[in-house]
Amino acid sequence: MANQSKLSVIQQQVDAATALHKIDGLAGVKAARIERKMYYPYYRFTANCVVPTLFGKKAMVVNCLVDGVNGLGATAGAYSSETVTAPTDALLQFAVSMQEAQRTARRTISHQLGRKLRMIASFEVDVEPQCTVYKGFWIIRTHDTLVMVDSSSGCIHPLSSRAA
Amino acid sequence: MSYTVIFFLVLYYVVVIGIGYWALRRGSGDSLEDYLLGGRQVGPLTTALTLQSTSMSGYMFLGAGGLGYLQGYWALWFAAGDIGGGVLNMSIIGRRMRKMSQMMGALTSIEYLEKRYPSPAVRLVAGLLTVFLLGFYVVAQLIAGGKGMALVTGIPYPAALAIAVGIILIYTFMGGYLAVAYTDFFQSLIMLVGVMWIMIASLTELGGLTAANNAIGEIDPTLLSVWGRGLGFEGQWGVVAGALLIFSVGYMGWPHVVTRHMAMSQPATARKAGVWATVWNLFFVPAPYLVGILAILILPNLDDPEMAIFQVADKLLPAAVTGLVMAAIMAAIMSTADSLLLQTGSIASRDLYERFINPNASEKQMVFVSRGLVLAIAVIGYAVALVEPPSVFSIVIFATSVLGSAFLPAYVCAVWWSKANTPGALASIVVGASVAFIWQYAGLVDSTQLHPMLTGVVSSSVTMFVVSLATQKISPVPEYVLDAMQVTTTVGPIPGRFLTATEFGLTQEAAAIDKALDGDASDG
Repeated sequence: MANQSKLSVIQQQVDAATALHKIDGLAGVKAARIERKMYYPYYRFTANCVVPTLFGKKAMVVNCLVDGVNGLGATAGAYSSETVTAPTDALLQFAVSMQEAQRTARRTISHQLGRKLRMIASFEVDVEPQCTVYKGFWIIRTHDTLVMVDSSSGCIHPLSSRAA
Repeated sequence: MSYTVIFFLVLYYVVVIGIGYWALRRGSGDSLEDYLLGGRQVGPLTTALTLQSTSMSGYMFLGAGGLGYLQGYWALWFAAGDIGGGVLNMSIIGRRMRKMSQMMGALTSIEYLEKRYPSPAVRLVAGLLTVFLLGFYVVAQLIAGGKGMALVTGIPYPAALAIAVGIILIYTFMGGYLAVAYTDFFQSLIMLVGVMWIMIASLTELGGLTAANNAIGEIDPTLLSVWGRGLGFEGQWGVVAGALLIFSVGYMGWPHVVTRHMAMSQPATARKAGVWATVWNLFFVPAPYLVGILAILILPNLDDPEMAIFQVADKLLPAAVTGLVMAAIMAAIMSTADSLLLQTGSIASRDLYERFINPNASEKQMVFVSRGLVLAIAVIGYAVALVEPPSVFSIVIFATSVLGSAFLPAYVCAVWWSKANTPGALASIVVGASVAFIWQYAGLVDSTQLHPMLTGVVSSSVTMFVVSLATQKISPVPEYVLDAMQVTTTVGPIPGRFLTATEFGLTQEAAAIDKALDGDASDG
């Protein structure tokens, strides 16, 4: 039996049946099957920010996830997580350090605030590391290819690999 | 200018700020998205109209009308390119650029160029050129704002210009009205309704399009031709091609426009938004040119042809509507100037200052650099606009021609041609910008009958191909770039129907999972 690990995972919103149904609908044939579930690692940060507005300063919280494999950052909406036990070989390994991720988070949040609020201003951004968190992806085989389905959002992305 | 116009102008701003306040209260949560979107998801229609309200600049309200007034139906060559330019841009490089930029972790469009064509020189040259040209573009918005403000308020141009520049600076430093999507949506609707209203009122005043054309034909039949007043452009297909190219393929070479691909929403939303934007363009884009043409009859002795749309509105519309429409136009000019200044500031601070001068710059230092540059542009722009204001049309055409010529092959080849390398891109940017610039200022347009945009794009494209192929051995495209291009180009052996549902935001996760799966398979 494979080694098991306990991990914090972004709450699953899309179960295996729903993911299959989604892919079947797109492929047009009822030939899809779940191959496995994989867990992708992220560093999770929460930033307490204060931004100036026309009606005074406004405090807001910005969540940021930094990809633990590629080191790329993105602001994220609120989400809840759950603890699950998963086979170790279903986890992708972290390749980015926490320090590096924190720098990325700060840069990403500052840039996004300026871009989205359309202003040149010095924002107060206090980035707090939260934890590492994983996201589950359903790996689904259709008659001719593999597709992954994000178990939290239901978004899909094709895979070029033929293995699973 | 009547007090009624000023009252409704003020009322417009009160309503817009009220919408912003309402959205702020509605999205009373403490998250960024709640604040910006009023706690709601923004659909394709709002996305499209928001985009259009910030992209339609002073050019559309001053330059387009002025061109129609001076050259008649010849002006519609520019409109023809503009109608489909946005969708063409999104179709050719949109999806691929979004994937590439995400995979490479680029935040700005100039940083993206450096990552695709690895060399500090690419970023330095591209950054400096963009800051310079966007600075020019901003000056056009300042002039447009000043002229509009002078007409609306009746105060002298120098004071109106100072007020417009001041408002634009506050707008940029304070974040628009509230920078929420609903204010842009409202503004976009008023702009569309307003411009259509001016056009319909003009047609009604003149007894319809046929009657108007007959009357224009009696004044000067050449204004009805596609070759301009006095057939000045007859047979000059090189100039016509340039006019078409500027706002069609030219978009693909504008760093401040292609940067939008990097934050493109999910393909389904983006595609529907593209349809709405095209519908909006179909109605909106030709209207200012046409109003300019009709103004030949309505206001035959205009001192400043670029004021044609403002003056026609003032003459034909009810005072209340004039106030609202002019406020929307002024707001559009300001939001475009604000977007351009933000882009310029961002490139100056991140792509030049942080990258080359102070790699450990704090956010405060970067904001200082951005604001300093914006202030410098405002001061220089004010001086230029006051002392010897060039036409909005000529500034916009100059800046966009040089930008398009410099960057079009670099951005297109970045995602479509795997042999495009660093020397090719660098040479292409320099040659394209130089040729377009020299063509314009050496007066070669008249002698060669070729538009700077055409010669610029052709020379930068040829340079890209020749130099890239000639330097493949000494400067091959790095493997990681080729890998990223491969992932960008192919969406796996997936039937096309999957493509529409693909979330490109997951590209880097997909690449890593692919690698892990392949590793597992080879281990097994």
